[in-house]
Amino acid sequence: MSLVFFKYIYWHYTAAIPTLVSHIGNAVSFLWQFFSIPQLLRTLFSPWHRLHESYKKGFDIKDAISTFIINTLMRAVGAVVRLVIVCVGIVIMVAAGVAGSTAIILWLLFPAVIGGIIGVIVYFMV
Amino acid sequence: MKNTQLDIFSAAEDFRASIMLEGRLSNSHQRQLINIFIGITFAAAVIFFGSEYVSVISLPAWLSQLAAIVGLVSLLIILVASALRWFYLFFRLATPTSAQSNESTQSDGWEIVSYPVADILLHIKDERDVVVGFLESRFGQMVCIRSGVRLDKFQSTLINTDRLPLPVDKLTVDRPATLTNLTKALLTDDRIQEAFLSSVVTTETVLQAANWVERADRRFRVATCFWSREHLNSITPFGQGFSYGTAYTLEKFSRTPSSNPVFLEADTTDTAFARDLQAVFNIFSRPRDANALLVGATDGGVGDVVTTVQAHLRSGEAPSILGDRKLYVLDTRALITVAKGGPAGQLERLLEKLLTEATMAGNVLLVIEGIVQFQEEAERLGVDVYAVLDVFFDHPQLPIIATSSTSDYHNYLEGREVMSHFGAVLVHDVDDDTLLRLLSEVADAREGQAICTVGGLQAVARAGRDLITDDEMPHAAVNLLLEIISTHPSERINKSLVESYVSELTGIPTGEVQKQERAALSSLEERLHERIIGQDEAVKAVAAALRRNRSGVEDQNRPIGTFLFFGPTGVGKTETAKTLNRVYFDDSGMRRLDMSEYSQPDAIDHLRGTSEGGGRLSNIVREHPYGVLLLDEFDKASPAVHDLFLQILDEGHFTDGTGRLVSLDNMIIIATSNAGAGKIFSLVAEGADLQTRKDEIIESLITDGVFRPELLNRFDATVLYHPLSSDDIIQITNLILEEMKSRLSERGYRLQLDDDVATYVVEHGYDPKFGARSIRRVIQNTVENAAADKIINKGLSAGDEIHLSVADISLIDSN
Repeated sequence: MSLVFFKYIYWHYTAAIPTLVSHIGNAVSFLWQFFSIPQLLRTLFSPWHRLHESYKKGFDIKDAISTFIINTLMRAVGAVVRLVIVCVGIVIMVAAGVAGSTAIILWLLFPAVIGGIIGVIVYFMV
Repeated sequence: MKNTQLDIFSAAEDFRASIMLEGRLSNSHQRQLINIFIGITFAAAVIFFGSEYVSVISLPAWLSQLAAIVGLVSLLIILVASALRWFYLFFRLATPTSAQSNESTQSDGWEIVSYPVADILLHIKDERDVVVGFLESRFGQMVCIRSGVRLDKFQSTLINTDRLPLPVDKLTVDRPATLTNLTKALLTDDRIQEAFLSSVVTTETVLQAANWVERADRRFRVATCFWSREHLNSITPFGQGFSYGTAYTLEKFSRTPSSNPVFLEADTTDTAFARDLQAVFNIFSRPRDANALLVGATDGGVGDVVTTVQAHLRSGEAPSILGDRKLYVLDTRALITVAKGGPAGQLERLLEKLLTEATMAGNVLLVIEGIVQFQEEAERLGVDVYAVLDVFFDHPQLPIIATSSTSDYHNYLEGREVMSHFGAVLVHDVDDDTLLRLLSEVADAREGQAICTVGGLQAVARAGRDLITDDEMPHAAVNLLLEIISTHPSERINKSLVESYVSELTGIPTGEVQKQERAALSSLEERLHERIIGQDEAVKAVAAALRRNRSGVEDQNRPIGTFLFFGPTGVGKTETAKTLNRVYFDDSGMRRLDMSEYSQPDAIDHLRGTSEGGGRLSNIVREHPYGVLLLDEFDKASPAVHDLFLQILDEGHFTDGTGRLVSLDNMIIIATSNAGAGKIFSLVAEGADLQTRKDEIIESLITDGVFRPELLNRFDATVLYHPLSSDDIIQITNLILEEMKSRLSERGYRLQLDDDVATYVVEHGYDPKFGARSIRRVIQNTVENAAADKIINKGLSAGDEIHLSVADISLIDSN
């Protein structure tokens, strides 16, 4: 039994830690991809869903202004939506990073905490 | 450095906690426990904090505190135990299995054994006996089941034998010991090998089973490990669509690829179509005209490659050049139907709109299946699809994959202008190992319905290749397996089940020689001699060829037997073919071609068919792939036809006019020829022994240009038919007269012939030039006519006797 316990403690503080760190890294990297942050930043000012109007042949000031306004609006809508998603993504990533760091600390403290709690319970029971 | 037994067992010990938890705490139990402890902790916390505000809850504070702490501690312990279990369960996923890599993997510390091997080692109760561990571990048991042995019988045979220690020396030491390594090491023991062989399971099959179990276990673990990098990468990003447009019209006119969806699930498709996929991806990396044309024998096979491309796009494994593209298969049929019902020019407008939107969207990979048929149908509506596409072919925002059958490619695309926009990829056939792996993945996905064995899958693969003539591989084999699984729920899909199913489906006997067939084969010479008088050499050659084929000794990728029978007319050549068909193929499969009709230069097209339609030979073989194919007067066929048969005799198949493979693997091909008859008669006149002069006769056929030597060499046997001897002629006459008697007895008459009737027939009718045919003609003109006269003139009825003497016959003859 004691051998199993020491084997467990050895695993808990050796192999388990890099694995935990790597999973947290995977999760953060996934969120980066999931929210397509680099892609959204690259195409920040592209028209929304690539919707745009082409300038008509021949010059008509009214048409040109109208097309310019519509295209600018499409870019503005695209930029706002993308920016919101990028911000949400970054917040969630930061939250995931904080949660991950907390998990690592909790992991490190876990045997001591459990041991302590059990010790306290046993102390008061006895 | 070699691992010692201690190293290996100690490495397995590392997995103990995980394996123990795996056996005692299933995923669902684990989830339930976590929920229960969350509930307890939460409820206790609510009671503890709530008691200050709500007087209804009046539990002592220490009790709720204790409950909350116990709940929380239990929850944490369960979570950490799960972490420990998952850690070992998924740990080996990072390193390849022996099935996937032949290269050695550095082993360090606890990477000495794989999870299944650790499971087996931990089931060993006595370190000196690894067999018990193998047979009690779920992985070892699965290897036995996949191998096709009966587990209970196998266990009782092996567990009672002497103990077998772990063969440490035979385990591969330069990489973690896998299930295949361990099984291989165990099979070096004679008792284990014998135990498998006594269940008619070869070592190779057991190793394939171990490999399969190992891969299935790995696939299961990969599928369960949802937090792995591969899994996370395959989730479609939330923000992806915001950078692209929408192809509204294409979404309306798109459908799924014409392939089996199992190709989306299977991993082996990567290997199966590796070369084709690489070729497609290479084409897409071209700076201009980055469009691929997939060419294959049928739509199914090409569709499988399209589906594999789709699977790559979904899993994020496609090269970056394809980026975030989504695959859309253009529903050309729907497009044509809508255009037919609309105003003129509708198709062109729709197509242009659809392509423009798809280009603007920027994330479309367009697939046009059967591009030639689409062009043909569009032409009927006055639209040139290639001209419409021309503007878009060179657009980097719209890569296109088109598909075509081989015949359409050769007839309508190859060398044409449209091909300057495409890179052609001729889809390859998959090799046997890959096919087996692919089938095993399909079987795994349907494991809930039926359990398949390695033997069963091998039989499916063989049948798919050799017997399903109207579809190509691996499509044919996958569909066959799915069909068998769905029609045999809760059964074990093994070799015999597959073979009996395929026999029923195709009418072709497969599998081991059964009792009845064995009897037919062993007495084949006698059965043939019941109808064929003399001609011992021919009878022996045919019987030997059939026995070779059915016993599995011979190369199975050739026709069952190929023979050239040559000699004078009426000596039994055609009769041999007919008798063989009656004895062996139950009188059902013989097809006859008069080869003198194929002497013109265009004969080859009539036999093979053209792109417009099937030929005589291809149709015959497709409709009746099993039986005797008799090629009468083979010497009279054109040289091009001889060339076609050069390939058929050698490889057992040919390609028809539409580019599809036609297999004659399940046929006996008998070519007959009267060539050389003059030479034979002159040698007989000289009193020469024909058998000793056979080579001389064959040489004369070559010198006279009747057959080329390479064609003669392709036949399993070139059989010389002798002119009939006087004894043979008497026997044949008696045989024909007996036939006549049995015909009449079927109608109720008893035919009684005087003894000298047969002699009279031979003396008055036999002509060596026409052989037995002349006898048949004389019997028809004399004996049959005399019998008919008696029946009519004497008013005989059923049950009466018809007595014929030489006088009766000679009277008819003189008339």
